[in-house]
Amino acid sequence: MAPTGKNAGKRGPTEKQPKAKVARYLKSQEAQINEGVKSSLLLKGTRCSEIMGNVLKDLRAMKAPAAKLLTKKNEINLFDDSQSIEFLCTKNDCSTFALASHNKKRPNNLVFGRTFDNELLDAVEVGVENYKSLNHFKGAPKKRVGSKPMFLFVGDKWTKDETLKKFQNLILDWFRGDPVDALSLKGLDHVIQVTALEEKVYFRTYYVKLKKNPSGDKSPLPLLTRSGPDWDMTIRRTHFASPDMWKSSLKLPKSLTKKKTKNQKTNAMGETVGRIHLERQDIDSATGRKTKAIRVAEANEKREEREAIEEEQKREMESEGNMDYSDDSDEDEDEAPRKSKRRKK
Amino acid sequence: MSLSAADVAPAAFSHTQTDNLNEKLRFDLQNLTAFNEFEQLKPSTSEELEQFMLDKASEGTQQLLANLFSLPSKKSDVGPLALLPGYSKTDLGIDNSLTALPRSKPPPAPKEETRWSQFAKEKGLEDKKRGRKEWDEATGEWKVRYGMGSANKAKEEYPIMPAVAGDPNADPWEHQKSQKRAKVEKNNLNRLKNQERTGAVPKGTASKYEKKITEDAHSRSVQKTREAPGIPLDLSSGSSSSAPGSRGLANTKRALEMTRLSTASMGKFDAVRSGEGSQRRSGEELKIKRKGMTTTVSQTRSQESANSLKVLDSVLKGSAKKQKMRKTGQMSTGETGHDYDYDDNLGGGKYRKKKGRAGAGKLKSASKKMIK
Repeated sequence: MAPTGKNAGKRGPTEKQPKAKVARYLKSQEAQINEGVKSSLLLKGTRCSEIMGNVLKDLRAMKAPAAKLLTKKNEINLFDDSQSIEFLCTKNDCSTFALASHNKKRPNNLVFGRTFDNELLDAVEVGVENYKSLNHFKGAPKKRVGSKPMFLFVGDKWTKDETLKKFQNLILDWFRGDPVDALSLKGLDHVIQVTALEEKVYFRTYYVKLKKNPSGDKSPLPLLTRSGPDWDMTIRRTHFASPDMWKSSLKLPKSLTKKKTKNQKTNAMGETVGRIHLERQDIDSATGRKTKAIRVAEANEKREEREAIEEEQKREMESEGNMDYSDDSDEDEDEAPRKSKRRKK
Repeated sequence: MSLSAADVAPAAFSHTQTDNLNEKLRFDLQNLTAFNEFEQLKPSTSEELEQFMLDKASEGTQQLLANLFSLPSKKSDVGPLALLPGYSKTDLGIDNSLTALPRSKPPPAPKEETRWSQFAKEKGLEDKKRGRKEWDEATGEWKVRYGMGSANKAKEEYPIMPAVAGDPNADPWEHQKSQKRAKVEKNNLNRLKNQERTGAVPKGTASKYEKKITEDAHSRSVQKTREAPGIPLDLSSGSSSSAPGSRGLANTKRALEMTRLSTASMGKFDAVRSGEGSQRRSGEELKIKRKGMTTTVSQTRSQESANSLKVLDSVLKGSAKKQKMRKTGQMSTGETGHDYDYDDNLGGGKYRKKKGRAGAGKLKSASKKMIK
């Protein structure tokens, strides 16, 4: 079997290259610097009602083509054991999921969740009420397949309640689609509004028609109509990531984080000036190695000094006149042999 | 005075007036989101609630669109595209207006460059993509660069194989093979070295592989000497890799013995040299001397019979080892029907392969009932 996951790319000395098809698949499973849309896995729990089945179908319509709807029922209780949902998400290459189920204790149950690094990150269980499917708004215009939604979060509870804060993050992540850098604004055709009022969360989808602004602004006037799917939610159980896991999930690749260049500044002229920080230098007591050039220069200096002194002495002698010839001491001084010191290198 | 559309049909535009909106929204334009963080009062009836939400949505969307349409844009072949904040990817993690959303997988570790890619970068070499097919001068057609029917393979096949350049006695096909093998090994070694450097493979793998290459080369050369005709088998490599091709003392003695026995009379009448003496064994002795057998006739008889009985025992009861296991109680007993005549009432014993009387098989006691 070709190596997968962490062992991808490792090959023993005599192992053959995997087939091109396998290599392409492995490459698609690798982590990427820029991740695209998060695919959603839509599945049914132990028992599912017709309403919840329709909910899943509508979710798929909303998220198409980044959604996978599984038809079989699954005995999954992810608040006890998250292994099976993690396995399914890994195998189907989906990092978000919605698990629908129905039983007496928890009627019309829907669990929104997401995974990170093949492990369950967050999961929020909601009870769905007052559900209006896409079919309910049959004649109304609907969003195009694959278009990005606009979002509106109404209510102060989104910032005050910790659970709702995280739920908001989950909803955004779940429904936002492809995280692009540039977007054609003409293609905006729907808005999802999530309102938090008095223990309930209202999920509404509106189709947006962009009309020319009569006041002449560049931005258009939106005309909203209900397009569905709409439902009201009450939050039941939740499972949120530990702070460590949350932190590691937010880590950005190193190539995307801004690199600070220190000690460099570009001034108004456009010149980039750098600064060098030096420690205090004791110039006076600093002794260096003497090169030949320095020695020669020093020797020359000394010689010049000596010659200057001799010249002065000569002049003094001449000025004093030819009166004193018998003074031997001066002569001895003049003809004293010069010893040149030669330092061995 | 020109009329505006809002004056003509106020109903159509009534819910789109935002001049009196006093709720200022917070925006995350990268995700096209607006946050209305003001406290809201819930309307009493459901129709009022729906209308309330529709109003909020309209107002919010208008504000959001106003902000989106004021973003800088770039030209593209599908029309102008608005550049969403975070597009330059330099202020991710610093810009607080962007919602921090988790990734699906942890970010990939930066790939370490291989020696070649570093060199290519320095020199400014570009990655030239070569086509799959290559013009083959010899045949005058386009052949694939590698694989079946490739030009490379054809190049290596000569109608008259030229001799190896340096050594006229060398096998040219062997030489060709060894050259190719050397190439492959060098490539593998470099690949492993690269992987070791990146940490994909544990340290020491490359050196182990290098060792293996040299060992294989040595064993191949040894095999060559063995396979060459005319060289005695006992000039084996296994004894001493330091002095291949030499027998050594023990092997020389053995070789001498073997040559002695290779006569018709098994060395019985060979002249004995001085110093050879007592260690000689005649062929007759060697013939008889088998494992565990003595030379006296009476002992031979009893030994032979004992051996034959041993063989019979092992066939009937199982080998000596198995018998011992049974004796010491290591074999399980009483767990299957084979251990004794056990009737577990499941009617398994009544199964008959054949129909009728033949299916009954061997009967312990003949009775007409059992035959049915």
